[in-house]
Amino acid sequence: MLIKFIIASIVYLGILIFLVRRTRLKEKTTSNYLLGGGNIGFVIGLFTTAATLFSAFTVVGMPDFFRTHGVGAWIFLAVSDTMMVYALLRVGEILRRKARKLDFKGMSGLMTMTYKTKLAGYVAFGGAVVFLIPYIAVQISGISIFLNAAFPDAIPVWAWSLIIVGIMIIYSETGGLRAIMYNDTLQGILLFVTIWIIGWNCIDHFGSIPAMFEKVASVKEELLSTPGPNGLFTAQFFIISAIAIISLPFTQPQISTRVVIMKSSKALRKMAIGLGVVAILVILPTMFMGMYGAVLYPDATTQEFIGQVLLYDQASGVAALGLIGLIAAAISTSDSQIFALGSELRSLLNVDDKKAISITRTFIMVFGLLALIFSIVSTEHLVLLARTSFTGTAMMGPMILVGILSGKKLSKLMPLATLFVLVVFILSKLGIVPGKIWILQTEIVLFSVLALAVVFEILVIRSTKAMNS
Amino acid sequence: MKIKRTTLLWVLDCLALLTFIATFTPLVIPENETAPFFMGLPYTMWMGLLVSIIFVVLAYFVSIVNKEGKNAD
Repeated sequence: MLIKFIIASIVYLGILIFLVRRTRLKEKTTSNYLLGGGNIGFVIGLFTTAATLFSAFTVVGMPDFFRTHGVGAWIFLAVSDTMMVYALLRVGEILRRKARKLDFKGMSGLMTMTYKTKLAGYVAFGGAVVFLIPYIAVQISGISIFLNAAFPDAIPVWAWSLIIVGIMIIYSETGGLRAIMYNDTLQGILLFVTIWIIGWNCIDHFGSIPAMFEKVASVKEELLSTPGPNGLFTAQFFIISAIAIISLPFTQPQISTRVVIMKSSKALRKMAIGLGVVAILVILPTMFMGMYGAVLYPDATTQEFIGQVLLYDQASGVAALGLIGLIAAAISTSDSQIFALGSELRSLLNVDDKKAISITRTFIMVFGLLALIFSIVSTEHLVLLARTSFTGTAMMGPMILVGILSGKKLSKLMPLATLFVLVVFILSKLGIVPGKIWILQTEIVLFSVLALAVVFEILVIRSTKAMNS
Repeated sequence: MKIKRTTLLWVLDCLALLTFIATFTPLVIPENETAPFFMGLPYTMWMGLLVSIIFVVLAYFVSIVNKEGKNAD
């Protein structure tokens, strides 16, 4: 398989190099380097957003989730993703209008302008760094460990990490966001084709979908209902996950940037609908893979199971494609996240454009290196932060949504409340604050605090201001 | 025309909210219930698939209604 993997890697790298050459920028400005020229069409928009959204977690984590916790995993991700598409269409247009009006460079800068305080920008930027870097690091380390297990005699784990980060930084630095988006399109197609070939092979093993579920029922019937064999999929768990995922287009800068830079509202609408359909089509084969694992490898570790389903149970050509697909999934999400952190920093800088781009490019490398270092020395705390990355960034959702939706002057309440909630959330993940308050999970309590802050901001502070004026 | 568009969006939002709430109730996620099966799929799976499709369809209707409105271009 090594030979086929090397051939597939050379073809993959060849296409990447071709795309980098096509998108190379001689003169780099905020508009062309960080915002891709601001005129992204429907097809590129759809694939880049999908590839950014569906990370290595989709290829590795989702089949394992289905295998371990059952069909409730569909509600956890697919249903939440389609809810997100609805929210994207309802709020995306308002975000684009605001972004045009306030010369959007990044969400942090937009928050500074809407709240008229740097605190809001710093909270948005700080939250993105704290939750995205561990997420990127864990993805890189996960893929590197997997590659090392597949080819134990090739190179050490850290060398795989270095190669992955190196590829990302080279094309991000050369062609900026446009290069990333073209590569995302390639990687998105690769991921889609690979995951369906493997998913199809899994159904083929049972003969049909009904036969697959019958077999799963005979092995462990609890997998076919909620809350699943380990009791994970409760209504509270689904609600927290749904809030986190619905907020993604506004709280994760790599996605909000793509919403803003779409060429037209028509392109955005088509992209959003396409994203909903793609979400269903990408998650469906991961369910087949998970059910296959539940029958054949119920007691295997995640790595053993993924190794079997992606590599050893497949023809060598498909296995090589599986590995490339896995790398593509990790790279296409991580590069966008690292680059988005750079854009967020740029949006907070008040210096001339050339200097700002130079600082931003340096920091894109710094963020890449940080992710590389963390991926090599990955600790338990880092994994915890990564695992809760979406929920952590979702805590910034109310502040960002109030900032986007409000046309009036806002107080500092939302940035302060968000800062407080983020600190408590991190402390709860570190075990310093309890994970449950009464019968409610701490996340639900913190979202309720933010909801109260929104009500207080809208009703009380505004009416007080109206009385004073 | 604007009033009609606002009303339609309001109706779509209400439907989306109702579907959102229903998703987290026993209507979609009954505890330890696998029946009734539909085309070989267990209850929560086919209901989940249905909810996903409903949200994509609702989003499609929003995109049609919003076509008429003021946009950011």
